[in-house]
Amino acid sequence: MFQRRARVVIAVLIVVSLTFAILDLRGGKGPFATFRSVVGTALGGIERAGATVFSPVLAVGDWWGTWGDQRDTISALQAQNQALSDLVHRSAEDRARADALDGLLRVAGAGRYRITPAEVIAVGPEQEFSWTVTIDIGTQDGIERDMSVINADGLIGRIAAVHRTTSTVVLIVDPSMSVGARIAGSEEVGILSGTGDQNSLEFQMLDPLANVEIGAALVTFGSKNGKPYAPGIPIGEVTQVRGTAGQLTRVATIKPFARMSALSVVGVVVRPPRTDPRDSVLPDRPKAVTPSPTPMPSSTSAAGWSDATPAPSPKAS
Amino acid sequence: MWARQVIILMVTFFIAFLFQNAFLGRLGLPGSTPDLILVSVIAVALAYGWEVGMMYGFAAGILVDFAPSTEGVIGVNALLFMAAAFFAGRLLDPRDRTVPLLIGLTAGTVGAVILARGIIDSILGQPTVVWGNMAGLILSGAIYAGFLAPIVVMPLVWVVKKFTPEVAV
Repeated sequence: MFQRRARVVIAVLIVVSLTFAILDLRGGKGPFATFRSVVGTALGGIERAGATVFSPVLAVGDWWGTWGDQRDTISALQAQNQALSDLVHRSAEDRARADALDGLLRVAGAGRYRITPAEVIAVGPEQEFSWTVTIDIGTQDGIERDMSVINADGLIGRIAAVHRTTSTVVLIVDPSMSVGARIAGSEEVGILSGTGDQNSLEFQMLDPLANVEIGAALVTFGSKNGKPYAPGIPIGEVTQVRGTAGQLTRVATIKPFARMSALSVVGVVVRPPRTDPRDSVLPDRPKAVTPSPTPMPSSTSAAGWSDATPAPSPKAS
Repeated sequence: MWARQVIILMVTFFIAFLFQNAFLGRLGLPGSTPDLILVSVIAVALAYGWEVGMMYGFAAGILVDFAPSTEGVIGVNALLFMAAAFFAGRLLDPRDRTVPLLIGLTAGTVGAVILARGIIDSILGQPTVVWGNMAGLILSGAIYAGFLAPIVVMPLVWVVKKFTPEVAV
């Protein structure tokens, strides 16, 4: 009974299917447009709901599928991050070096020194009581004994020993050092000696009657042929004056401009300027007040010790 | 009895349609999309006999034809699903409903349906059939159907026997 009815129904359904197909093939959306949109809306809703339900599951599939890719991405990003942070550190370092070199060039340009830049690569041990550093240039760079070594702030020391690719610099704080120095803005000269304390060097003035102000700047007096010291290099400033006017010698305490404990980029003066730059290398700072300014003998050439013996200074008398 | 049977069939179609479009279709498997709806038609034919299977096939086919993501000629899927239900229901004796036979029958039927759809579509000239892909489509479709067959048929037969034992084959 059911079988026969079912077969009839099936036959009808086949006919219906064929009719649908033929009607659909006749073209136009004609008879099915409405039905299609209704069914489409209903089934589309189901599809959307299903999509929502299955999205997490599919996401897991994606996750599995992209597992290898993500590992690659992570390692690539890590490498990139490492490279970038290296770059950041390096660029900070480079900037510091560039600043140091800029300062050095400013000094060299102001004093018209010809310098060869160098880097401090080693510091002598303090327990040997000598203040020395090693720099990374030597004879092959044209370095010779007794050349002046400066940095952006001022005088550092002089070359004590030269090797092929390195040189040893004795710093001005070394107790064995003595530098002919002049108080900027005046003609007062004297001898600066190291004490082993990097913040207090001793300056013995030749004229015991000279008037020295706290805060006055010192520059090198200059030696014959600029060795060991080229003229006009800033050294430091007066922080204290001991002894009263009229004593046999008067001693001033000098604080060097350059920090001897933090040296990196330095320059070796390979050729001193033809003329004494006088005070022009000193950075702009409150000028040491001289009691009675005397006109500077501008034509004074780089003077050695002998012809630099100070004339009795008019202001002191 | 009638009501329960209709409900079972509707739920079957609903689940099959949902998984087919929202899950299997989006897995991006190589070859053809696993045709879960067609497998469900075969399963119904095996569980209820070929007559009910053909009716279910007609309904499922018509709905698939009208569904948003299908652009074929309306009625083609209905006819193909009815044919699939007829052959599956007639060929397999319910008594030797073993898993290997199920897999083989389902895979073969699905492969044949894909081929027949290609032939009909190219005759009707409706969606352009790319015959170069046909072998791969048939093979992958048959393999997927083989995997789906036990998963779909066994639970459906169990449900049918449990809730509508009078009409179960």
